Amino acid sequence: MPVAANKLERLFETIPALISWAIILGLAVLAILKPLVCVALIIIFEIYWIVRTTYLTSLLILGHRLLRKEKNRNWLDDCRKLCRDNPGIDGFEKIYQAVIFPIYKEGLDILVPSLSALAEANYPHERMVVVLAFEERDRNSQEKSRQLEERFGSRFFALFSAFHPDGIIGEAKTKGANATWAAKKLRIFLEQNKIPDEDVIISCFDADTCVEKEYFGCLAFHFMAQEKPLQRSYQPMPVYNNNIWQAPSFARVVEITSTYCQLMESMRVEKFVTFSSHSMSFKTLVDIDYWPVDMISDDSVIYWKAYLHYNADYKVVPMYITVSMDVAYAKGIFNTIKVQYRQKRRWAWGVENFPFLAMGFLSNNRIPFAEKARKIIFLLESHVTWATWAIILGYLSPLPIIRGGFIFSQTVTGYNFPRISAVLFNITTFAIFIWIILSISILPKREVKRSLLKRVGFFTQWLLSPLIILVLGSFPALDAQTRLATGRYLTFTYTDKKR
Amino acid sequence: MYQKTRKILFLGSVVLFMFLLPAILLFTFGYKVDWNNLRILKTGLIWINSSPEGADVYVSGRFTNKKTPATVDELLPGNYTVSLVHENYYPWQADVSVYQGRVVSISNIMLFPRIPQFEKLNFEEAGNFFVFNHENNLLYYIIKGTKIIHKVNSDSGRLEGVINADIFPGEILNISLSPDRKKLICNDSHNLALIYLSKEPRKDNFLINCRDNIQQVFWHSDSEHFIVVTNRDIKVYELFAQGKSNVIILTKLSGRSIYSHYDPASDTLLFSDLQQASDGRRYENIYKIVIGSRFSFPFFKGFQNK
Repeated sequence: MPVAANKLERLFETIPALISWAIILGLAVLAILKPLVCVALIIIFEIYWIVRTTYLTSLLILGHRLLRKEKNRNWLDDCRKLCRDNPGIDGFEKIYQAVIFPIYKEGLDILVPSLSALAEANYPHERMVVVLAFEERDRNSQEKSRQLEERFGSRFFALFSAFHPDGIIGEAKTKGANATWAAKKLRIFLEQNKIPDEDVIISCFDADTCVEKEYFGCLAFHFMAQEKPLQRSYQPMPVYNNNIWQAPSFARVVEITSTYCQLMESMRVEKFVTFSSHSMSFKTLVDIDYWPVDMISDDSVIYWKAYLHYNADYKVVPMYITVSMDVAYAKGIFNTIKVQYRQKRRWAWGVENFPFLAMGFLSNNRIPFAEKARKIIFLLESHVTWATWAIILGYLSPLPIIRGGFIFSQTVTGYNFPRISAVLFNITTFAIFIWIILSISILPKREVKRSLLKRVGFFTQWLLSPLIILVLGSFPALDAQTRLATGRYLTFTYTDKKR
Repeated sequence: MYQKTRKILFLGSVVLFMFLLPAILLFTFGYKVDWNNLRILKTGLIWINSSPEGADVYVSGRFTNKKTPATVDELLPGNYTVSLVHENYYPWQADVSVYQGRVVSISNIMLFPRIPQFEKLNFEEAGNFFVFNHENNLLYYIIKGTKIIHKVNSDSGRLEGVINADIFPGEILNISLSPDRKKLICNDSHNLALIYLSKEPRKDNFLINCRDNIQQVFWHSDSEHFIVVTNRDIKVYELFAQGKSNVIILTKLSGRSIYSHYDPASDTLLFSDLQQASDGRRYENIYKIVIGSRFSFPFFKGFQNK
């Protein structure tokens, strides 16, 4: 990259952190120097937040309804019906499903259930190809590969392993580098078997991802139903049900909230971006030169790569079918908070999409300016809001009262401000109550019957929400942005999975 | 279909935001819209609380539909008559000035019941009663015309104990409870009886006859000494095993009625007395004496001369 471009990219890397810190420090300074102005700004933010929460909770209810509506639908029948009813659409019989599982330290206890879910999928197995993408630096990879191939090799059209070598120039130790290596191996395999790229839908799943039985039927249906199937990514709804009952309530609430965020985002299709396990046309993947090999947030960057490649004519199609993953937790509450914090910081590292997209926009003249502005502002707004909202609501809003002291509390503003904040907080609590109700249907049934006390405990776990908001609400995002701005780039860290 | 619903929800949210923002901001900063004259006025508010809570709040004769604790907001600057009305209580009323942007906080209002609720605590016809700081919620009363003392819990109204002071020769005028709650002194103007409240080995109740007029009796904090202030002297009695006592006369007094006060926390006695000075004149002074352990070094200090 030329020096000027490099400097420009560094500038873009600092912008999210600069805005976030300016908001936080600006409000803190105003609370001291001009408490009334600070109160006004905080109230505007609180109203914005309440309206936004109400709006997003409504979207969550809609998303939830869709999830329930499309559950247990026989998608394969729907695929055949779609082909029958629309003579223009053909090719269901030739669509291959390829799945890449990037694997690092995950053991067989994690991998076997993921592959078993694939083996039980309601999709012609003779059109399924599975690639186990191992890291060569993992000493156990060969043994794990041997055991898995032995156990599942005959269940699909093909199942083979790819071993990603360490230390390739230009690569970082990321999941994307491993997945890309495996995708290239897959391409060789497809060429050998004379399967065209455009007939293959590629799904890149985290190693702990267990698909629903109808997942591939649903994916094929959506793929065929699209006018431009190659210019779409297909995003299932991630749930964290694999070990949810083993995880502490703290981690459980965090992950249910993550699922909800995804469900809400899925309703805003024009802003929807791929996240975690997702699928797309293999041809598109090849055309855009695979996943990035030096970025951590490969799952979202892949969307922006395709978006730029197709000059903004690229969308994410939400699929209201779930893929289940593991809750990240560790022994003890503090270790769990630490693990969760690191995971959320890694997710928030998606802020690296901002300089990537900004640079991409600069070199692309075919996307209209208005579209560029809309996308970049939305991306920036979502990351800045993420890094500031909990700090504003939890830490900065009491500041004018504390700083204003007795005199301030004797003014109408000083008196009304806490009352208004309390009312707005109660509205948020009501939204949490709705989340609790919705969470009942999203959770898997417990194998062991729960005692009344534990069932009560399940509901009261939501009381942890304020604590979670204060610790995990904004700090991981602010940390990620600050690291990006100061050049202390995040490296990929493996999240230990427990069952 | 869902995207259409979403668009409606989005537009609804925008409208809600646009509506809520000015309304809440104006309210927070104490502004009120005068729709008749289409202008914005800055207001003040009154915060009011009472004991008991739940009184109806009236401002300038108009019921506010609020009960204490209450906030009466959006009041234009000026003078208001605030009244509290609570069923079965005397009403409360005051004139209050409201200033723009300011909070008038009125708390600590006590409402008194029209018919006070009395609770009878004695079980027999009562004479004098006594309450001691170190006996929480307990009161002692003498049954009139007898030498029986009842100990009653003033909260529950329960009889906690019966003390027989038949050792005392006349009518008991005063009782003092020792800090350790194990002994009681009954006295009138010339007799003083020490009664052990629980039976202790080799310790019997005993009676002291006093020639002089007993003014006050105080217990020392160690519960093993008591101070008797008469019109002629101040004595300290020291309790011994077997119900006997030692007595020390701390000082002679002028013989006229004196005032005394004892602080058990510091074992300090304050008393007033007339003393003749070298110029032959009599001065009334207030004295302090610290009665330490075994009062080995009593220390007198004069406070004031007249």
